[in-house]
Amino acid sequence: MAIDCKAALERLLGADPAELSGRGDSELAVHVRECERCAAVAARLLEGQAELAGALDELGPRVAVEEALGAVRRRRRRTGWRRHAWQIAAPLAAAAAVTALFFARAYESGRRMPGEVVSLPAPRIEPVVEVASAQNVMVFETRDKSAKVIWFY
Amino acid sequence: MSEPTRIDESVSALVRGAQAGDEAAFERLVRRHYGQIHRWALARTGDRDEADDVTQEVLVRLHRHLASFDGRSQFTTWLYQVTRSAAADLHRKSARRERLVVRLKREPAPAPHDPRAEHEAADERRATSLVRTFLEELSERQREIFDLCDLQGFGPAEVSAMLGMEPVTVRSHLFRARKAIRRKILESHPELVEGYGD
Repeated sequence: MAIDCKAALERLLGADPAELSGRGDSELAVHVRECERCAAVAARLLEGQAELAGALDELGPRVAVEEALGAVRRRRRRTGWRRHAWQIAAPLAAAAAVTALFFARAYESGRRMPGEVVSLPAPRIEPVVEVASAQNVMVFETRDKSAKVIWFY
Repeated sequence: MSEPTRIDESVSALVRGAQAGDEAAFERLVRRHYGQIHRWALARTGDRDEADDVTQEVLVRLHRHLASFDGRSQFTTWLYQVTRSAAADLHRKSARRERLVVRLKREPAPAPHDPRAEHEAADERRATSLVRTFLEELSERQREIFDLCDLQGFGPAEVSAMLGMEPVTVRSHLFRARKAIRRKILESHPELVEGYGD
């Protein structure tokens, strides 16, 4: 035996499970195969780890898998509905925002909306000549833009 | 190139099916890994209630993000990372951090005059003590590495990939965890180590 029991015990505390089982060619594995006392310690360590694994298995999920899957389905439906709602709401919101922006800008600039009925103010007629009351007058345009014929009657 | 095992092939088929929108494949995949996810969550959080919550969250994330699994790593590696991420998020959200109260669901303490029952009670006490050590005395890292390597049988290389850690770091945590757990195991069997110090 290349190592003594005291050194073996120290190594057993950190060894791989295979070495605890005496498998392999390491000094420790060889020692475990040859020393009854250390083999008993190694066996107890493996048993203890198996007990721990079993005890942890007992602390398994308290929610049955079918129940957990049901919760996933419910959550998915809620999320799916929300996703569909967004698919509708997002374009609507965008359209509303664009419309609001359009109106705001139109309001600020005083521009008319497309299709709006336009009522133009009546054209203002500048007086060409001043005429005394109870007298009639007619103004005739001529080809010469700078000349007009005025007939008082 | 090594041949994939039948189990791996089966998981791959389920993953592909679930990614393609096959709900039955998704549910089979969940049933297959449900207990494992919970165990990972328990080792990660050290708290059974939190492990339940994390497990539920992982299932939701699995459904939502399975499409992003590209098959470059093993599915278990990817799933473990989803579990870790869910546990970390839940831990951040949770203001309270109630420490573990281990309640092993076992039979009540048997009558002391029955030798067989006494033996079972002693076993139960030992197991409870070990679970307490595991959940309360080991650090989060030590706990998850010890559980993955020594209790669930994952190889150190796979655990390194799962945790995104250097193999030497994994071994270091594993070594410390083993020492703590094994010392606790030997505490209940002093007769085995009598005379070792001589």
